[in-house]
Amino acid sequence: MVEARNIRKEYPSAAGDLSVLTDVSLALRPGESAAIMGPSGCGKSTFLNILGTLETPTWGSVRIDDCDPFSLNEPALAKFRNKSIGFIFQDHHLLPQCSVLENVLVPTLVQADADAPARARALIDRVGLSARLDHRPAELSGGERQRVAIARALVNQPAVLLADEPTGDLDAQTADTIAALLLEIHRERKTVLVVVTHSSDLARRFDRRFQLREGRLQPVQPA
Amino acid sequence: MTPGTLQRRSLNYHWRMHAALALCAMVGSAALTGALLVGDSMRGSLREMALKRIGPVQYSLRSNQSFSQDRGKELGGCKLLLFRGAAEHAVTGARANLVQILGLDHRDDDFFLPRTLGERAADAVPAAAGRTVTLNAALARELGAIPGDDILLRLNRPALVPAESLLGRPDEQALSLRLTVEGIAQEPMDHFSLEPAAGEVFNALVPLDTLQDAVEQRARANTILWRGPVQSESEAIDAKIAALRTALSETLDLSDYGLRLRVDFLHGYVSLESAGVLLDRAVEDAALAAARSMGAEPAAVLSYLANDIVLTGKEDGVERRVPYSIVAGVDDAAARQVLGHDGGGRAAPLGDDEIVLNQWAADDLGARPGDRIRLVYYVSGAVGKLEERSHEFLLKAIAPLVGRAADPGFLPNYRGISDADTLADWDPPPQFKIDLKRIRDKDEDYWRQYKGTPKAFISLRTGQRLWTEADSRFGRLTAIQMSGTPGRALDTLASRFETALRERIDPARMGFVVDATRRRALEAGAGSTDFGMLFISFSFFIIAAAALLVGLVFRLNLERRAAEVGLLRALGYSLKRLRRIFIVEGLIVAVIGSALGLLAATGYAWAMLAGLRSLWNTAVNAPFLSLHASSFSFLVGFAASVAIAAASLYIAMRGLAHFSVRSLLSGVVAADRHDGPARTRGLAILTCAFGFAAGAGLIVTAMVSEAIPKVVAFFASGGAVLVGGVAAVSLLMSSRGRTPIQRGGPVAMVRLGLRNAVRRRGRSLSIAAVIACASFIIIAVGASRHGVSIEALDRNGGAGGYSLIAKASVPLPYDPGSPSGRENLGLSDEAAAILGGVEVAALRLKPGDDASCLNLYEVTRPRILGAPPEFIARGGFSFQKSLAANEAERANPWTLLDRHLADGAIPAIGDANTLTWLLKKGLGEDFAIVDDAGRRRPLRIVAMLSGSVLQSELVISEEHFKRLFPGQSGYGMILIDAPHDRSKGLAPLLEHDLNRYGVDVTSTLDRINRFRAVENTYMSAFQMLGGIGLVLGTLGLGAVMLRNILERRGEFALLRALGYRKSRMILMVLVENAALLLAGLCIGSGSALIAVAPHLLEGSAETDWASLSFTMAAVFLAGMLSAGLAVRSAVRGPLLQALRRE
Repeated sequence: MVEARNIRKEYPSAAGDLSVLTDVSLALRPGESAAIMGPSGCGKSTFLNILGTLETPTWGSVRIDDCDPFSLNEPALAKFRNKSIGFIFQDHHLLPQCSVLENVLVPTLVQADADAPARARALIDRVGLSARLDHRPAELSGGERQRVAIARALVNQPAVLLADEPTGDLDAQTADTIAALLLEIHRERKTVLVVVTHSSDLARRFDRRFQLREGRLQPVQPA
Repeated sequence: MTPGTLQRRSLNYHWRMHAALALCAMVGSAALTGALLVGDSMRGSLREMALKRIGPVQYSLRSNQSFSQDRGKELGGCKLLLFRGAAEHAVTGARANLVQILGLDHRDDDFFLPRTLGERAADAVPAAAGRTVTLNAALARELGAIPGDDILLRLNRPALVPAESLLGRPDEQALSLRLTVEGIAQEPMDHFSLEPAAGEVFNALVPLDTLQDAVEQRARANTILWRGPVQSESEAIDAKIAALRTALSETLDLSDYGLRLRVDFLHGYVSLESAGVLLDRAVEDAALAAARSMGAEPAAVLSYLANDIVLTGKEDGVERRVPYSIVAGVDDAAARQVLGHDGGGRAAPLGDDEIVLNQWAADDLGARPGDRIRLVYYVSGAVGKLEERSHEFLLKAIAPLVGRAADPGFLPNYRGISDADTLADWDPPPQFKIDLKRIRDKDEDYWRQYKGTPKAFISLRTGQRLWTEADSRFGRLTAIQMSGTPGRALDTLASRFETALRERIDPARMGFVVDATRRRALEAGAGSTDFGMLFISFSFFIIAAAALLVGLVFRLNLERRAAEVGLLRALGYSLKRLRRIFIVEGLIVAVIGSALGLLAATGYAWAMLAGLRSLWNTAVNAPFLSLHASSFSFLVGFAASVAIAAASLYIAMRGLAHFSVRSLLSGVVAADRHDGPARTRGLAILTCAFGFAAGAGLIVTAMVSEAIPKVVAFFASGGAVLVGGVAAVSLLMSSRGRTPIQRGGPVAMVRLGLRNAVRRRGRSLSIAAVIACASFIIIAVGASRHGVSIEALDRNGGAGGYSLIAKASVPLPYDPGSPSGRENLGLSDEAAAILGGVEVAALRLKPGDDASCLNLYEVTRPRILGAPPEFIARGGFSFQKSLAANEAERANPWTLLDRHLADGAIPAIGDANTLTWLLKKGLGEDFAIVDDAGRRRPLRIVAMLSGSVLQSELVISEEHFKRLFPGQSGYGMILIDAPHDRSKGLAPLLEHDLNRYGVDVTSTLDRINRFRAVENTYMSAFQMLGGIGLVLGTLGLGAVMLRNILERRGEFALLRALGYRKSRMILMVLVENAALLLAGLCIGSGSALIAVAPHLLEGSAETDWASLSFTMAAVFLAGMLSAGLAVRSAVRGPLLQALRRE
């Protein structure tokens, strides 16, 4: 369960506080997916980062699996993020020095986990890259890199998957494939999936869709 | 996959970045470890040289007086005669002072050259008797002598009678010995010396027999050397020393102490007498105790030479005189023995002002009991000065010339008097003027019949008060006698007395010093200065620059990997874990760099030693330096380098906490804490204000008071101003309210450049700080160089107004400051005329270790000067601080030397540099020395001279000197206050006239210059290493500029796309670069100038401003050039590619 209530986010600036989110609330149950759309600079990524505990809200609360992550201290919050949240970024952020398998295993290094390698291999197989286990990111295409990023996001079996423009850098066909993969896995694992995107085609595949305008989240009715 | 795997992957992948980091760590490690290796090398080389000097010697016995050569056989070891003197080439006149003259027995050759070496004995020790000499290479070189040449050795002949006592013969001490050079000595005699010395040692090896004959010490020696197994345990060495002392005590007989026991069978007594006329106080104490232990009553006698015995107060007003008579001061026991024949001893005891004449004298004077008798006599003053005094007595009785009263044995054995057949044959020392015309026939008759039988007796107490109280350093008795008791043979009595006496005489108190030579050499080899720490401080800015660069490069690396850091944080890595991962990664690199630095350290140390042997040789004068390395130094250097790198890494890593994951993921590392600038500004304002205020406060305090040592004030004020300056720049960088850049043209580019300079404030400040630190040290050190101005010759200057300083290898027996002294010294009329018109201070000198910065060895026995009352009263010199308690002492701190301290400490004055750096003593602290009697005596530092010519010695008053070192006669140092125009001509005159004393005359300015040259040389080293730090700082600047430019390639491409000319962009970058360079140079130079302001205001600074300006300009240009090249390459790349990347 992910629940964000009355989230407000302001950034101090020389010209006074700059308000990005004014009052945003969202509640998603396990197995639910949501797409958040909106123009550039409207605060989509900021909201996603707050859900992912990467940024703290100026006001409001976030609960993930009945836990208020912002009440945790830094090490506990890091551990919580490691176990409960999986991130997928637009530019995938793979470590260039590591192979595909190693990149997927990076989140598991935080705590000893004997099953992690098997899980990672299974996930890589699931995303269709079992033949590229030892390849480095530089040897992969954009779509393949994003698949590795999806596998990495899932390796610790998080309850929440957060994706920021996961197909933004990809061509339409690859983007479609990646979106399908992401949703398939989401359904298999009954995670909460939140995706930030500009793409209405991608958004249409999600259970719930929201538009972020003037700092507020507004549901988009199905056409 | 483990965290280790991740680190390994990162290390491999980012190897280029890590190589730069490793290089910085390597530089720091090399500088740090290299400095420690310099310390190792100094210690190792000094130790090697110290051991080379002593050759195979483990222990040694040195004595103020000679002893029977047979003792060497009984005690084992090698006996020799060892003197200090001077040498001169007989033809060319080339001279060498401070020459060791060794009389060696060729039979002891195997002592110096073990037979196992199979060398011919003559290579080390000169052949048997002959008028030959073997020179060591250094002396041969100094004299320009080759085998076959004749040279003159000048030394002081050991005197039986102390030269400065009444009957001393100072004029007979100096000896010239003409010898033919037989060969050049090989090791170990080439460098042989029992005293550790870094400079060259001059050795002249003379056959023992030849030297014994020359100094009239047949079959005698003054030194024994022992070999033996090398012992390193202190207890074992102490035990061996104790054993040698015991053996010495048992072996030496009375003759070795210059004593004899005379048995007078006629008068029935045993008399202990000294070859030096007066019995040493230690002997007196031992003899009285020995006699009492035997149950005998010792009788003490002080016989003296009276110029006249005068009958006064007669009604006719005519004074009748008896010339040149022996008068005996006798204690009660002696008085009873001597005067007991008259009426059962009613003449004894003698009252303080009572006198007894013998019958002959009474008859000659026509004196009767109750008459007034005046004694006229000499007392000894300074060397060569006798003062005639008189004292009136009441004639108590007249002793008939029988029994002990007719005993000529009262006259001590003194060559030239006791052995004279007639009074006219008397040959007293020249200062003791005898008027032969006053000697009558009856006087000659008396001498023929009674020899030295005293004509008068006074009480011992009165005699000592009149004759020895003013100067009792040589003793106060001429004999201690014991009468034979009936039934006891005098021989038995003498034998028992001798045994009891020998048991009670401590050889050490008689000047027989047994020394653990090897241990002392090793202790001295530890050095007076910790060169390891010195070079660490010299290399401080290299190490600091390397540490800053480690942090900077690591930070740059981290920034390049910002997205990676952001990803890991997003994936749930805590900050602590992240720090650990990256710091461990950095540490692995630092460890590799530091390990490589250990190799480079060897090269660094080698280069420093090469510098010390050549470029900086003035400072150490140690051409023998070689590389020594201890594993401990490698370990310490490595550990310290890694620790410094770890600290730098930690500080660099800590900053990452300030960046959000979002900005890290985007790869842009910019602080997004919006409250940051305000907080930073507040901190910067505070730091700036505190830095400037503290700096100014410290400088002003140091200028107006002595509350803070100048060195501390220098570093503290400079450091404070520098920190304040960096904070001020930080403040400028964070200033708000910038007006928008609106107008185009070069001015806009300049403003844009300045704006860019503050974009990466942390980086920019780091670089400005490195440049500031290095330029601070270069300017500060450059401006601190000392010059010697003519002001040093002012009475209150470093030379105390004295323009010349003369040092004698053989002490001058007379004071050249007095007319009689000049005459006795045989000075030419010209020299005497000049000296007669100027102030001359003759100071006594106890030889020892050179306590100045010219000596690298640890100073344990510094040279001591004895300052005469006139010198003390004259005052002068510049004092850094003193214990002066009243206005008079403040006006002339030399008078503190006259203090008699309640705890028995001796007041002493030394140069502040000597005391602080070599003796490690401060004002009011004690430094222990050993006096002639082998006792440890504390010298209390009562004042510290500033930049003086007297850096090699500690100064005490002559009065204290004579008490501590009665065996040290004559003057070893002469200070001459001659006008500059006269001093030039006087120096060669004095050196010529006094060449038999090995006198070396130098200008005091030259001498101070030599000391200053050492300081300046150290400063050059400091400056050079600071310069390397500055180069590193400039490299750092180059690296940062390159990084900045690489980061901004897109920006440049955009500007080009917008139509900017390349030259405009280059101008913009150069302005940015110049701003940082100038900020660093200005902060560093400004704070340095403020710190050294007191020194500059003193006027003694010898600053090469042109050279300093050139260095600063070169640094500026180098920085600009590197930035120019970087930006040129950046703007030359393909435009579209760069734009796409953006």
